[in-house]
Amino acid sequence: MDRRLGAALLGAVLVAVIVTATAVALGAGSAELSLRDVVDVVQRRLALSPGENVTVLADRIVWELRMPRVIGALSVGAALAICGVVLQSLTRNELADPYLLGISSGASVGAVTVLVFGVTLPFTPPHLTLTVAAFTGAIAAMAVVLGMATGRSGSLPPGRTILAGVAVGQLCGAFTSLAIMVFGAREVSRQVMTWTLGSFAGVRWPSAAIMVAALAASLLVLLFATQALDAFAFGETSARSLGINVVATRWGLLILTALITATTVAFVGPIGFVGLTVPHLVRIATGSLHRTLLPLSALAGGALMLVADTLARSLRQGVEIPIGIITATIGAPVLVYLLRRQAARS
Amino acid sequence: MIRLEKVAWEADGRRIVSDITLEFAPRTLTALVGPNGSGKTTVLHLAAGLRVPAAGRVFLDDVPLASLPAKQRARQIAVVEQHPSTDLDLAVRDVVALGRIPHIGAWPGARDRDPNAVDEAMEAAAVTHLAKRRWPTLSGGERQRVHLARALAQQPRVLLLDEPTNHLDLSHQLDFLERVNRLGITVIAVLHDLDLTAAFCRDVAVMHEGRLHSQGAIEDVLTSELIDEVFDVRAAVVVDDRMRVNWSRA
Repeated sequence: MDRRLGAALLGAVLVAVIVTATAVALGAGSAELSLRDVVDVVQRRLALSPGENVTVLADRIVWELRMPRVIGALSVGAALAICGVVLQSLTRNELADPYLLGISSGASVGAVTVLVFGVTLPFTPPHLTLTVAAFTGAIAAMAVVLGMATGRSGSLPPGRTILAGVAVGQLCGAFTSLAIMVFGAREVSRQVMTWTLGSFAGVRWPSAAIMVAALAASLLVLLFATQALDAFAFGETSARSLGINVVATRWGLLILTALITATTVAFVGPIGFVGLTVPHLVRIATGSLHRTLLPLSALAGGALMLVADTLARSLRQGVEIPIGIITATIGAPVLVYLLRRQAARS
Repeated sequence: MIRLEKVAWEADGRRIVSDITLEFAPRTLTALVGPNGSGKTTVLHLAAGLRVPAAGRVFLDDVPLASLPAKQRARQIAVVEQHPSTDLDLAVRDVVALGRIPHIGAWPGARDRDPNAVDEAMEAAAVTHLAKRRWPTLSGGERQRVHLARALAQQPRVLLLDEPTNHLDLSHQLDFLERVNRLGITVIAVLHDLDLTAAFCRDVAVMHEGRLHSQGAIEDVLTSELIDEVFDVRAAVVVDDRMRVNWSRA
């Protein structure tokens, strides 16, 4: 099939999936609401109807609890997917994911410091302490990784960047294990475990708004970088000969993706597999040019995350399954299937 | 055209090339020859502005290359690397279209002012029939021609080729160099084969141990003494209508 047609088709399918999944997600949960109720609440809130038959309870559940969660899942999924695309292209490494620069392990150090040692931060309201600490840890890890990987002339060779990320990640992992084993109560290790698998349970309008803003800003920047990313297809020298400022592009995009990833980790924890697999899935479907790859990855990442989050909170009554488990359970088989199909064709 | 003035380059504190002063003749094919490790690729990359000299300067029409914005440089100088490769599953036409990047604005939806440039470049490199093929399915010779097309899509005034005939069989070598020769632009090619050099190039620059050994018209430069000294091969050079280099290991 013509790739452009395929891309348009995939985009349409993904939008349909997102709309359907949103409707389902707003209705599903411990309080089951009908589609009618959901539509009524949304219409009233968007001032499309007076909504006289909307109950206060339905309004609160749909608009205050579930809607921010849906929007948070869509934005984080989209953000992680496009960060994955960018990092895989910049490093020319198929295993690159948004947590490449030690971001998740650095964030874990911040989170564990708060959960285990009960640290409080100045100027930070208590309910945001974990978020701010995780964000700070992520940024600190990124700074160390970039500092370790930088060459004399300011270049940032991908191989060294990846290794520095692994080293910092291992060191942070050692710290978190030590903190939990030596100082943590049993209940704390469970809390830490839950945090490291990610959850959208705590997302309300303010945090959802921040995630949407981060996604919008990154999409805006990246739409201007699609050609530069394409130029990296044949490596660094080739990109340079096409007039790309390789060092500046790498620094700028690595820091941009790291900031976005750190923001998502701070609010919902590290959620694996979306940023790693979605770019591959979209590439297999529509090719590697970034002007289609980036927007479609954003849609696919959002859709996958929303479906995963809805499953996470409705598979078992009254219990939330950590979303990282769901994304891996959906993502891994799909990736294996597509890789096998590709292998069979070539 | 392109002029190097006392240019040096070093890696890890070690001089790779030094004191290169060299001017390439416009609108002709100049060969850059020399043994392995003599610094040919380094000189090519310096001339392309891909590496910054440790000393000396490179000029394009009397403008220092270092002062040109990268995009503007890429609209005038194109490079075909030795073994450009990718793991990505790109269509041939998309690879050639990469050459248009320096000509298109970066904003989303920016249009190419020359919509025929890609087709013309593919025509000139004889890869039009490959347009829809995927990169991983191409042979070595096809990949080389696709990258020539990508470089031509940049519509350069200067084309730099790093061992372009490597991995090509004899007829493809001849075809490739004939195509390049017909372009009528300044071409500098790193070549290993002195026979091909003699057959296609009027000018030659010889690298030896990180320095420019000699440069000039091929009949003046490619002498049996030079081949003995630089390549350590005893050869007899026969000058006829087309230069011939015949050698025999003594």
